[in-house]
Amino acid sequence: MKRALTVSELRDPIHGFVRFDSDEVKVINSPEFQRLRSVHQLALTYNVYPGATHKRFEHCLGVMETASRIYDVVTNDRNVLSDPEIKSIVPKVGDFDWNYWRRVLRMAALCHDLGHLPFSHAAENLLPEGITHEKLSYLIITGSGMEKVWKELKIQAADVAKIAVGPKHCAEHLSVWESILSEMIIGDTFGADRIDYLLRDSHHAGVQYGKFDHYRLIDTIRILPKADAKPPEQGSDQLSFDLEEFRRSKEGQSKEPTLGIEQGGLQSSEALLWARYFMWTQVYLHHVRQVYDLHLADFLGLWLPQGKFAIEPSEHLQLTDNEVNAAIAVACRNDSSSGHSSAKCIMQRKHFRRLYQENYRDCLKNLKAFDFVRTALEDRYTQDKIRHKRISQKSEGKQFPVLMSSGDCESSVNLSATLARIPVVSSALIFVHPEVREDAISWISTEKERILLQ
Amino acid sequence: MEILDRYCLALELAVSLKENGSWAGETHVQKAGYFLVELLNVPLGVKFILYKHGPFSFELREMLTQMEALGFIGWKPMPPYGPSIEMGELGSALRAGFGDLAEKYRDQISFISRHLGHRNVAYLERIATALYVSKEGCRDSARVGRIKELKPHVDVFLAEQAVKEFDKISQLANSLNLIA
Repeated sequence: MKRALTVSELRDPIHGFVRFDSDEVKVINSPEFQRLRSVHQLALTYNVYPGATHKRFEHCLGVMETASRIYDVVTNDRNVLSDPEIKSIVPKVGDFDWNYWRRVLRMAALCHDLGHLPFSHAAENLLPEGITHEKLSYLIITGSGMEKVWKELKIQAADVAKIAVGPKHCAEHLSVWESILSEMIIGDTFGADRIDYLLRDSHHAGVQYGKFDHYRLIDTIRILPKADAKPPEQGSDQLSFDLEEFRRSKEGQSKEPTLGIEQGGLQSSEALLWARYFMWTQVYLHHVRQVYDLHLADFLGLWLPQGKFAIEPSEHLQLTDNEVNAAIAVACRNDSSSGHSSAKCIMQRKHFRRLYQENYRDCLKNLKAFDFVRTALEDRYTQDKIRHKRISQKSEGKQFPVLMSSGDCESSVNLSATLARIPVVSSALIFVHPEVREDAISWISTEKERILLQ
Repeated sequence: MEILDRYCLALELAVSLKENGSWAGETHVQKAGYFLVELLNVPLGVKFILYKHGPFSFELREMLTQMEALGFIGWKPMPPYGPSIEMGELGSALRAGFGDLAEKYRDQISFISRHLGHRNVAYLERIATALYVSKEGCRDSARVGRIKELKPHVDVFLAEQAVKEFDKISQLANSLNLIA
């Protein structure tokens, strides 16, 4: 006899409740997922924003909840465009396919971060060449440890894995529908991952900038043809491309389906992207947080066997922030330990101090200003007194299609002057040991011009 | 090869596309970049995969984002078209200081821009997919079948046209010794 599924719920500070059924709870209770209770979402950011102690565990539950809401909205008959390609790929609500992919999407959202290392992104440079945390997630989802649970849920591990990590990190080709499902989780603009982490990180860090009207935003997400090109109006002389080509073919505009929004959601998507901008500038790229990441990576480089993280899932699963924190505490107490100085920087807050930040004025004089200053400082003070880090957003996410009330699609940046102006956030910083900071400040102020014009 | 050299290569491609009638939206740079890398072996340093409507490089998207962050390029809204790449505040400095690699591959950049610059996005998606299936090892008419298999929304006639057009470009590139 078929057993009835029961529904459980967890309270969540961002979404109110996160609900899951008795099959899905098997994934939540798996050791692979429970490990995320011990991986901080924002690494050592709690040294700057004390409230930011939240873990990947609750984030992944939030991503599952958010992705499900997006799925329900975009597959709702009323919201599916009559465009033949879009109509043909979206399963009908209630059909077997609709239920199958909804479950796959939820599990992919839940498991998308299983491969995260201790302290999340902080020391990903210690993975072997060509390996990323997404690849580790893929290996864990498709590994023998989770095989049984996928069988019980009657879904294919490979489907969950490829949607969780997306086409960039997956060796297999994803169909258009699978690519869109993946976008619902890790998409540049409307991915549930981004929606949840901005809301959750801002909530825990106590930084209000990350908040936006995600209810309105999610309700207006649609699957739309990419609006990156439109045939010119008759008689347009703006561009000299082949008008005849357009007239011969109605295929001039790309019909590539992607996630966009209905016009009424434009303001909430502006708020989302500004929230992202503020969170990057205020929290993610905070200079003290950045230097803690560097000290942590230095420590791990000395503490891990061969200085690298293991990629074997069984070994990966045994390592969390707890083990690393304990090792840092031991190393801090023992001055003969190889990681002692980095451990002290972290535990006793004797972190390196920001000395130089790449800037437009210096780049005008020398596009390699950052490298020149860094090399000069390393020559003067030896490499162990200098640390540097360059980090940038990987995608800007502000170009997406908007469904107008006329039924046409238009590019977001054509409709919103504010979206078009959101800067991409990046930072390149040089830090110095506190012992030499005063001397370095004075030296760099007198020598910088000479260094830049070498 | 330095990252700034590769940024300059991407910037020169966008500039050249514009000179050849393109509004240089992201799809144009992506598909033209795919031809540069996979047909002419120009070392742009990015990998492509088959995405929804044709070859696409997430690494090239990241590269363009980083170039925007560093002030080498910007995006200009161009209603009713999609946004167009334009030179950023530091674009001229990049071209002046790191143009050697772009200069070395100037003929390849010009060739691709001349052949693809004036084409619309749907055409670029099809012809780039024709290159993709050719690189897979498909031969002759089997390529049309493979395009249909990968991209069912593409009309057979247009898939045949894409394969013919690709062959023409490929033969011409060969005869001009442009394959690095």
